[in-house]
Amino acid sequence: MFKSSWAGDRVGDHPPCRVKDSLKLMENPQYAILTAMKDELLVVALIGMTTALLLPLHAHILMVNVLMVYLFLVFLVALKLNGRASILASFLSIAIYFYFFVPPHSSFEIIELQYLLTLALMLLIAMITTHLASGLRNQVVIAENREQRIRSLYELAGELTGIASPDQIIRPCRRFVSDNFDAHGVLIFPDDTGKLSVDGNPSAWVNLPWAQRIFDGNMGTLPDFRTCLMDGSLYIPLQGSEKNQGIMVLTLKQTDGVLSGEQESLLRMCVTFMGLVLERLSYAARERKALLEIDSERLRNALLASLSHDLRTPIAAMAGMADAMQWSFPPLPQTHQIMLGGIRDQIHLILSDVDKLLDMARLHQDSVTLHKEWQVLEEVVGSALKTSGDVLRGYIIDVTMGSDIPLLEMDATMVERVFRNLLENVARHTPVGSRIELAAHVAEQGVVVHVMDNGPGIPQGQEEAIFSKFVHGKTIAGTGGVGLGLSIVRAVVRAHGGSIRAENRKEGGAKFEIIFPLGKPPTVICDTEVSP
Amino acid sequence: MSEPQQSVVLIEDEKMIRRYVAMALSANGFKVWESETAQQGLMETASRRPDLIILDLGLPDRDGVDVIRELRLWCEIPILVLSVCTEEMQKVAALDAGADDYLTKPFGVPELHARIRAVLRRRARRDGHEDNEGGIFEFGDVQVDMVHRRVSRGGTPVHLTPIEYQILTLLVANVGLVLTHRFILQKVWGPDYVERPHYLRVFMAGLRRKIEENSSNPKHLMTETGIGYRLVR
Repeated sequence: MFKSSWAGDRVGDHPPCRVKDSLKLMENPQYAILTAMKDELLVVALIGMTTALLLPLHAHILMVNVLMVYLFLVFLVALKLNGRASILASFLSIAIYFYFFVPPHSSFEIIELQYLLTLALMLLIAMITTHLASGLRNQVVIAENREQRIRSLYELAGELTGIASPDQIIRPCRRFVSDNFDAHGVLIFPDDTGKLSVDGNPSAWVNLPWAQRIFDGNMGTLPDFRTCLMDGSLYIPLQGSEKNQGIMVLTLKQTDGVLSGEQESLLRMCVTFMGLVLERLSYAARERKALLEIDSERLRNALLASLSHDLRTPIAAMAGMADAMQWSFPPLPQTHQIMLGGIRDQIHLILSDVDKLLDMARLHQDSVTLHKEWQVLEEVVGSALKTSGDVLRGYIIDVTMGSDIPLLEMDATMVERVFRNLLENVARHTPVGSRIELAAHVAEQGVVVHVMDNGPGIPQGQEEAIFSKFVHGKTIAGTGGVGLGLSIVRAVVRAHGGSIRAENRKEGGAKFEIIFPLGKPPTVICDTEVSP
Repeated sequence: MSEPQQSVVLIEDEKMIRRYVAMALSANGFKVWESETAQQGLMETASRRPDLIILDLGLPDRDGVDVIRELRLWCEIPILVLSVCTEEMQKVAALDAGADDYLTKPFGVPELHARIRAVLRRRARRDGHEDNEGGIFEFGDVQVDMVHRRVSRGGTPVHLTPIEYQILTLLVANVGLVLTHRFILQKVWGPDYVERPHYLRVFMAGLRRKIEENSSNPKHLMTETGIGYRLVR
């Protein structure tokens, strides 16, 4: 989610522009009067000139043609100039025609009834023409208006597509609102917990609980805007495909929250688009964050791995030298032998910790691939017993593993380490001479392996905590470790689709229970024994 | 060791490890030729004709497995591989390329000598210098009579299946040395089975139950996890 620092930025709090009413001309009011006057003056001038031209000729021209000339003028004016001008043109033409061209000339007197009919028809034609033409003009205005809105939507789309961070959404949005609505608005965004907040810019008039209610509302289609109205402001959710991305609060200055159909559909398009853009940005932000986390994790693991590797070589040399000294000729005195033995033991402790770090690093790499093969559990356990032989010297080990245990698909090296770490853990927390039992049986949920001892057990309430990294309980003196053993155990078991838990036995001592899932082991064709 | 002094070419870039291995070898009567790089090691091998090559897998100038392949093109000298890495894949690759055995660092002096002995003995046997103790091989309380194809444990006969017996004799012939899964599968089941190591595991488990005192904690039929098996006397 975005930071809330940019929440509450106002969208249209600059001097609000006057809205362009869709049914009125779009000119500035100061010029509108002048323009209208100009139209009427033009009409008077046009008709005056035409009359002046026709008067000397009227003896040679048929009366009907004169009438046609005036009608043509009326039509032309209706088409090109405004409504008032065309009405003026109609009446003026008719008056002049009857005054100058209908006998008796230079008089409004009508001597023949026929002329009355001509007058009526002429008036009718002029009116119809005016009406049609002004309708046509309105259509043009509406079309232009619509085109302007589409252009502004298109510009908004263009600007929003290009933005890279959420705070860049405010400017194009502000422009869009002031271009198309007589309103000012606020965008409110949620914080990380999904709560809307306006702490960045206190907007006292925003009804936050109502905004939150709209924000938490159902997803899907945009709600009817009438249901979003509160105190004369519209609270419109910016919907993404999964969840709401924010709220736009729009306060309309004049219409008290009521939008025309065209404005509403425009607003719908705008908020839908904004919702999608915000969603895209939130995905992008989330992805960036995840990538960053992966990168740092990878770097950490690479460092850990190379560190462990670089440590292993000198430790190996140290161990080797100590060993060579012990076997050197002539033999070292007894006390030196004992000291050397101590050095060797300590070196092996360090080595085992370094190995655990290496294991942990490897387990946390995203490239960790388990070399799974169908294994005989007994063999893996036996191998672990052999490798931890030094640590287990003096302990009584009891293994019960039936021959009915099926083959298990596992990475033997890793699972061997599971048992080795468990055994080492037991040796660390129980005195020499303790009894360690290893037992496995097949159950419904998988192969259950128990590793049990008769030592002091796990401290109360620590049964889960012991599996965390760098946690270790009370150890037998001088056998502390890095505290990674059991977390490696859990990581490996989980990587195999299994589970592990620890508990104390009723009879005393700790008990670890591992469950390995049963797979579909391949069949092995056996041969039969031959008698000797 | 045998009459003429045996010689070893030691190829290892880590100075301290090289020094201590050389020390341990000299103390046991070997003549040691030390090399720091693979290139130098190959030249030493060609000129000195040693009885054994000890090769570190992590050399700075060349991949260790590559060096083994090149060596195997023109010589049969046993190769003992040293590896600091705990990755089993690399060791398996080295063994499949022709190395005789491996040691993971850190290793003790007794371990080193045991490996060298095993490697050299196999070579001697292959060359016909050493006899098979009259066809009877013993480890622990187990006796394997190669001539009569009989196996007994503590005096009582053990009944083995033909495959179990084959695996056992293969291990006996290479006592002390690691045999990769692939090698045993190929020798016992044939090339079609090299990708089915679970066969080997199942038979190995059976063999252990018959031969080992405690099959869960074997003393002789040892597992080299991720690599193969080794018979330890």
